Amino acid sequence: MDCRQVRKSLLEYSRGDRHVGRREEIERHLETCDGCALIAEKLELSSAALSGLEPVRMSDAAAERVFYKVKKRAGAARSPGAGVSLLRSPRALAGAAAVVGVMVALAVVVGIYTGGDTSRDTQTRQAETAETTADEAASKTGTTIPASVASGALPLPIAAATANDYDQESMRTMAEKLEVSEKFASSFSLSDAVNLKISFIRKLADDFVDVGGDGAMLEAMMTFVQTTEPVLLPCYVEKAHFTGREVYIIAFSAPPRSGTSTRLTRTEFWAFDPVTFSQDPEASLLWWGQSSD
Amino acid sequence: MDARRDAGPRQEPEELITQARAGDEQALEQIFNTYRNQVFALAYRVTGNPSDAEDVCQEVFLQVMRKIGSFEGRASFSTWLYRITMNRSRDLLRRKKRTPEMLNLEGSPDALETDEAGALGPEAHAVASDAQSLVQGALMRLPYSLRAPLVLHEIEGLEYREVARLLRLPVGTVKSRIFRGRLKLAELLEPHKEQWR
Repeated sequence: MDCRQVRKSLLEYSRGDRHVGRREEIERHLETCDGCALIAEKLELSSAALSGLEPVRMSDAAAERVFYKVKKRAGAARSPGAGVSLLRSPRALAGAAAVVGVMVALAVVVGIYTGGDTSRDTQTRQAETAETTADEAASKTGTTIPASVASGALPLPIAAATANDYDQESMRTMAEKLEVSEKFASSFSLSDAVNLKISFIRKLADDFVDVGGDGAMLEAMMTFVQTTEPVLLPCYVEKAHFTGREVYIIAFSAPPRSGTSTRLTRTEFWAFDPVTFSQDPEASLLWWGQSSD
Repeated sequence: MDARRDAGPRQEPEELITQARAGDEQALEQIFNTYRNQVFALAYRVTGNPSDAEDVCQEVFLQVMRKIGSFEGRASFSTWLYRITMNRSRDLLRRKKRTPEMLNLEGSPDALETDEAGALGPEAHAVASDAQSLVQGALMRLPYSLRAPLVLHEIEGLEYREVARLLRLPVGTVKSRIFRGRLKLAELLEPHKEQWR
């Protein structure tokens, strides 16, 4: 056996899952290869450490507390006078979505006739959006964007640079009102996220450069997020400020966390500090939120 | 209803789940008592803090109560719970805008050991022995991308393919991350390795 073959078996070997035929071969190799022997030693140490962990249990007092709070919150959601909590029931959500849909449609119509910005705080400068046409997108990204998207039949992600200086509240408001996430929710599913994410990341990085952002940095941020969440489809990026610090806000369309739907109905928002991202990506995350679950 | 009872399953989970889906509140309580330790333990291993684990439990069971009607049983109930727990734990870590490993990276394992033992307090049933604290502290120093598959596979005992499905990663990636996580864990525990000889 060579080192590559031995290392593939070492994890099982370190747990004592030793197939007789292979064990002897592995042990012979370990006697002569210091590199593999060191790895085997490390794996055995971590095996011993992990197997020594004792079960963690929730105390009765904590269980009492948790169950009381859960019942209280679940009960509040069912209460006829529960206000906002009502929105937690699927039926109420569906009704609210219909109302919001009508309101959004009305707002769009008003926006068209008044030239107003229906999706942003009117106190902030109009976003310098870089929503390219389908043809531009196709030419920029070659054949990576499928014809159905490039033809304009399906929405494309948007890059923008704004003078917005968000705080917690206005960030949440922006997240709730982002129209492109609704378009993505109605147009794309999980398989689209898998197939399109690379081309959308590249397109956004290109567009971001056009609006004065650091495209390479943005691409690194999106790749970083994808490390732990591989099925996110970027739908919007914005170069803005958060409590005075420059941030790159990235919105990803994602499948719901529960249920069987594969539509990208959830949107995650990540706001990174581009100055500190390269030193410590985790610490550079200044705000995270999601629109719904 | 008394949430103190925790004598394990009293009825078959399928039966309980069916009753809960029909709106039976006692069945929901039994589900809570049956699965609370599973959820708490996983949340604790991922968040590294009993108070955070308690918050995660609250969110998980609230979601169970609200959405059990739509649970179709394609995955096992445990798998569904694992998925919600992982998602809620990760959400909590992000909301706090810092991860435990970032804090822990600034401290030594000895400091972690002290912090960990202090944080557990009398209400947490985790045994805060030196070895226990050292391992949990080391786990928290791993990045989430390594810690999550490691905890699910090595501590919770899930198969590679179950971990892959939960984390929506290819099985090969899960194996590779567990391998790297195990090596990194050993490196972090190396100064204290006599504990496990």
